[in-house]
Amino acid sequence: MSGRRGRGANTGGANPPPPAPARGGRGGRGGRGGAAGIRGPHSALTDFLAANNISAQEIRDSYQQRVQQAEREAAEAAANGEGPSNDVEEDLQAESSAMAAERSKKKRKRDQDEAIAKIKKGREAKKKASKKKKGSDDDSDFDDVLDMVKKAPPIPGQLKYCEICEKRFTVTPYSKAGPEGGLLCAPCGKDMAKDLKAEAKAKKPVVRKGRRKLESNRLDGMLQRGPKTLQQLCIETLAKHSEDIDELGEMPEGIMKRISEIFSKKRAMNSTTMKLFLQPDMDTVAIHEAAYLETEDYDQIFAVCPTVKKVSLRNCCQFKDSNIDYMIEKGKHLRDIQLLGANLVANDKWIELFIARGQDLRSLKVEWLDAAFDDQAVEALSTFCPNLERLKIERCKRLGVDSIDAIARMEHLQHLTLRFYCEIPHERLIHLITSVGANLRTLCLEHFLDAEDEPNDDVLDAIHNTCTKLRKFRFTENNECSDEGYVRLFTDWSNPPLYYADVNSTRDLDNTNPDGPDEAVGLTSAGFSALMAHSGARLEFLDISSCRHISHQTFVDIFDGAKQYPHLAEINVSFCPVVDTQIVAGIFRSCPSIRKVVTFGCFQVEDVRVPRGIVLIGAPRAGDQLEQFGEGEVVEREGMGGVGGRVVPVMG
Amino acid sequence: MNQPTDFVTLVSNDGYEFKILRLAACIAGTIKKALDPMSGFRENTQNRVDLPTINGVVLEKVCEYLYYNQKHAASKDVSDMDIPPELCLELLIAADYLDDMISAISPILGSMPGQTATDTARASTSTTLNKKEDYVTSTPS
Repeated sequence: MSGRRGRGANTGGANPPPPAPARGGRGGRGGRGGAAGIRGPHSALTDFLAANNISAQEIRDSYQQRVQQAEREAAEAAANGEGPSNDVEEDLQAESSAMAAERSKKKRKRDQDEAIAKIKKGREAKKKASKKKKGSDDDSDFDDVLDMVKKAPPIPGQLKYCEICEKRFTVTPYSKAGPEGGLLCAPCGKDMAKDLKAEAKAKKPVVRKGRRKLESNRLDGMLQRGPKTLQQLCIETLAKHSEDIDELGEMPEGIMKRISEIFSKKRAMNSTTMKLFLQPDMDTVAIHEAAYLETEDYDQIFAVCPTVKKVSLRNCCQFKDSNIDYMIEKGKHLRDIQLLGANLVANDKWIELFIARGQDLRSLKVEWLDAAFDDQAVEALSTFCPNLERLKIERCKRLGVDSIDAIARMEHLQHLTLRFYCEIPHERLIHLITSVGANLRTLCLEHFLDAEDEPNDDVLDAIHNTCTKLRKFRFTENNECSDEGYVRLFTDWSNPPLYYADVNSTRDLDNTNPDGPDEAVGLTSAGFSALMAHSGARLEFLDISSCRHISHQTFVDIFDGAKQYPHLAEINVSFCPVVDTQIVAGIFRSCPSIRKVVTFGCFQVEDVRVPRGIVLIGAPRAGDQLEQFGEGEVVEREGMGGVGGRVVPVMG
Repeated sequence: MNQPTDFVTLVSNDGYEFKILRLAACIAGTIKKALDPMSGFRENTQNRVDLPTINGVVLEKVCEYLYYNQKHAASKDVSDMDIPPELCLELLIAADYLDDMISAISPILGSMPGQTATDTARASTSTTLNKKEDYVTSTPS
C-alpha cells in the first residue's frame, strides 16, 4: 500500500527536488521551492528530467562540486611546490576525479553487485573451509562486507526500475533487494520473500524425521550412536529390497539368521522370500513370523532341508495335519520342534508326531493352541518322548491338571516353562516340582494360582528344597505367596546364584486396598533383599516390575553405589512407584555392565543423566532427557548378542 | 622395516589399489589386525593389504564406508550411507569378512612368519566352516 501511495504522489509532481544552497552562479530556476510550494517557471527539459526522477539541481550541484574539488586540488598541488609544470597531469587528475564522481552512482551499484557476488562466494568458501582456517583474513573480510551491505537500507523515496518485472516503482524502506543486487517492487519483493521462505524450509534439516524410529529402537533396547555397521546397512538395504532378491548365495549362518529376523520383523517373510533361507544342508530353520506362509511352503522346508534338526515356526497359522505327515516322513533328524499358533493340527496328529519322533525328540515348544493339544497329547509326549530335555507349553487352552502329572514323569527335563489357563492345585504343582525339579536349570511358572486352597508358600518351599541347579527362574503373576515365602526361598538356598530372575507382578491385587494387606503379599522389601543377596553376584537379568511394595529404603540400600552387581545387564523396575531419580542413578552406579533400565510407570524418575551405552526406557516424566547421553566413557559397542538365548530384536 | 605411514594400500582381487588413511582402514577389524605391528604380518611392513575375496567395485564402496564411519564416529543421528542394492549381498559378505572374521583368530595363529593375515583368516574360515558343515566354503583360491 505504502508503495503505491508514494508512487501516486510522485507522479503528481508534488515532490520538489531538494532545496539547494544558493551558491551564486546561475540563480534559482525552480531552485527555490520552499515550504510554500511556490516555484518559478520550468523548462520542458527540467520537467522531463523530473518525470524521470532526474533532478537538474542535482546535476548542477555535482558539477559544481567537481569544479570546486578540481580547484582545491590544484591549489594544494601549488602549495606543495610542484609548480605549473605538471599542468597536464593536474588536468588529468581533475578530470579523472570528476569522472569518478560522475560514475559514482553506477559504480556504487556495480560495487554492490560485486560485494554480493563476493558474499555468495564467501559463503560457499566458508562451507568448504575447514574449521582450522576459521578466523583467517578472507573470512573476516567477507563478514565486513556482509555487515556493510546489511546495514545499508534502501534510500526511500527514489524511483527505481524493478529488477525482475522492470516496472517503475518508488523505493520504500521495505523494498527488497533482488538477486542481482537491484531493488524489487512490492509484488516482486513479496514473491521473492515467499520463495526464500520456501527455500529455507527445504534447507532446514528435518529433525523429527526418524524420531519415531529412534524411539522404537530404544524401546527395543538398542542404542544407536555413530554410524551403523556396514553389515547393518547392508541388511537393512536387503530388507528394503526383499522382493528383488533372487538368491542369497553362500552366507555365513549368523548373517543369514539376522536377515531372516529382519525379514520377519518387516513382515517380508512370504512364500518367495522364505525360500531364500532354505539351503539343503541347514540344520536349523527358524522363521519368526510365518503368518504369510501357506501350507505348501511348510512342506518346502522339509523337502529342501531333509537333514534339518531344529525347526522353529512362529505364528504358523497354516500349518496343517498334512504338514505334520510330511514332517514325520521327511524330517527324520528333527530333535527340536517349536510351533507357535499351529491351530490347524489335530490332537491325533500331535500324538502321531510324538510317536514318530519318539526317543529323538529333545525339545518341544508350543504356544497359543486352543483348538487341539489336550491332556492326551501331553500324556503321549511323556510316554513316547522320554528324552525330552526342554519343554515349553504356554497358553494352551485345553490343558489341565492331568498334563501337570504327565510332565512330572519326564525325568530328563532340564528346562521347563509352563503357563496354564486353568488353576492348578498346589499339591499337583508341588508334586511336579519335587519330581523333576532336581535336574531343572530353567524353571518358569507363570500365573499358577489355586483359589481352592488357602494361600501358602508351599510351592516356594518346594522349589527351595528341590531345585539346586537353577540358572533361570521365573515365578510371576502370583498374589498368593507371601514375602516371607520369598525370603525363605532365597535364604540359604543351595542353588547357585541365578543369572536370570523374573518375579514380576507378584503382589496383592485388591483394587480397593492399593497399599496391600498388613502382612505383605508378593515379593517386597525383605524378599528382594534376599534375592539380591543370593543372586546379585551373577545376576544378568532382573525383572521386578509391579512388585509394588518394595520400599524406597530397600532400593536405596541395594543400589547404593558401593554394592556392585557386576553382571547385571538389564533391569525392569516398572510400576514400582517408589523408584525415583536417585534410585535409577544408584542403579547406574551399582551395575557397571547395565545396558537397559526399564521404568514404565515410575513417575518419580525425572531429569536423569543417562550415561553412555545405557538405554533408559519408559520413564514417563523424563521426556527429552532420554535423548541425552551422559558424560560417561565411550563404551565399546558390543555385538548385539542375545542374552540368555532370547530372540534379540533386530534393527530396522 | 618401513615406518608406519599415514596411508595404506588396499588391493582388490582384480588389482585395483585404494590408498586410504590408516586410521580409516583400521576401522575394519581384519585390516586392523593385519596392520597391527604386534601381530607381525607381512602387511605391516608393506603397508599394503591384499584382499583376495573382494573385487574393486565392492572395495571402493568399502573404502567409502570406512571414511563415512570415521567422519561420523562421534555424531549421534547419522544419516545412513547409500548402498546400491545390487552390491548389497557382496558388500555384506565383504563386511562380514572385514569386520569379524579375524577377531576370532587367536594371536598365536597370527604370528607365523611370512604368512599374511588374510591367509590366516581364510584358513580359519574354512576350518570353522568344515567343522560346522553349514555351507560349502566359498573362499576363492
